[in-house]
Amino acid sequence: MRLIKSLIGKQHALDLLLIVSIVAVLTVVHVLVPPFLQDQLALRPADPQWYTLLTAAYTHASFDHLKGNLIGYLLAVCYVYWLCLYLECRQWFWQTTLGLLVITPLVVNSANVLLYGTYLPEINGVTCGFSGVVAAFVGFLIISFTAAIREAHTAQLAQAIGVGLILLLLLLIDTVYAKTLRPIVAGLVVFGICIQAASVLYHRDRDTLVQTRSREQLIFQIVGGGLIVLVLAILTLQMFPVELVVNNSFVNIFAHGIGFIIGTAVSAVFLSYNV
Amino acid sequence: MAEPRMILAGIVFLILLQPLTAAAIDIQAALASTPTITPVTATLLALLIVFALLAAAVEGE
Repeated sequence: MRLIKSLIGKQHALDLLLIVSIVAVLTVVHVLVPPFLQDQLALRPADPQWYTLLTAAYTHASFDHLKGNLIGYLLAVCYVYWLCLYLECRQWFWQTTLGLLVITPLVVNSANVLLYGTYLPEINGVTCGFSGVVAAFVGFLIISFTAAIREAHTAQLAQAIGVGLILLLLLLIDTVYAKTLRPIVAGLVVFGICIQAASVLYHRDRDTLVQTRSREQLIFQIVGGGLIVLVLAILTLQMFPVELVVNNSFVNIFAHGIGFIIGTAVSAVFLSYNV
Repeated sequence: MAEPRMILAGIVFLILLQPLTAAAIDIQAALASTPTITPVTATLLALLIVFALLAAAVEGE
């Protein structure tokens, strides 16, 4: 208990409480709000109410739907929080988190209205769920990971790893839907990574930066980096699953893609104001 | 000319990439296909989250 108290300071405890409060809000809405009211808070793309552009993200169709999104959110936000503390950018973390909680549902659900309401008006269903925001946190995770590499090493290495990681995740998505590793896509990804690697190897100042670090620190960074890559792969597979129709519901991968782009853009913009 | 250590790091990364992806696919499949999460998946997810929180706590010191 004393160890936990010594590790968790007052500010840190408050942050964790606020992070968990999102989980509490989503659970309370799903469990305590009556179903007819939840139905009104969900978005009907064919007949949208303005407030549902925001509220639809905070309602869920089933407990499994909620569970998947909560796990995704917790995985992403915990790693983002760690990286933001490493960067000493607590303010950036909270600005971006609040921004994503508001901006992402508005943009993603507006896109849903355009997509379904304009192009598929015959579909008379509802869309709801926090997955667009989870996808935005995945974008935030990639930006914070890249920023952490830039802080620890060099901008060239950060760019190479960031671009390489996005290319590998795109390859993962392609493999999921093609159900095989397509040589032309894999070849293009390897080509892209090689171009990035070549620019890093060209710059000589990386040698001195790497040599100044202790072995323990380097091992910790490699383990941490590996876990972040693992988390990114899990979340990417969760956002872009093999089966797109689950329990008569369509997994809206378009919303996930838009959410990811929003998360990347919003976190990058806030980062530029905080550095 | 590339540093030998850099080439070694690249090889280690490529070796690690496959088991990492395999682990991610297993965890995602377990999350997607079963209504209740198995104890192994739950433990793995909990460990991933706890590691991040502990690392954040150490960083926040």
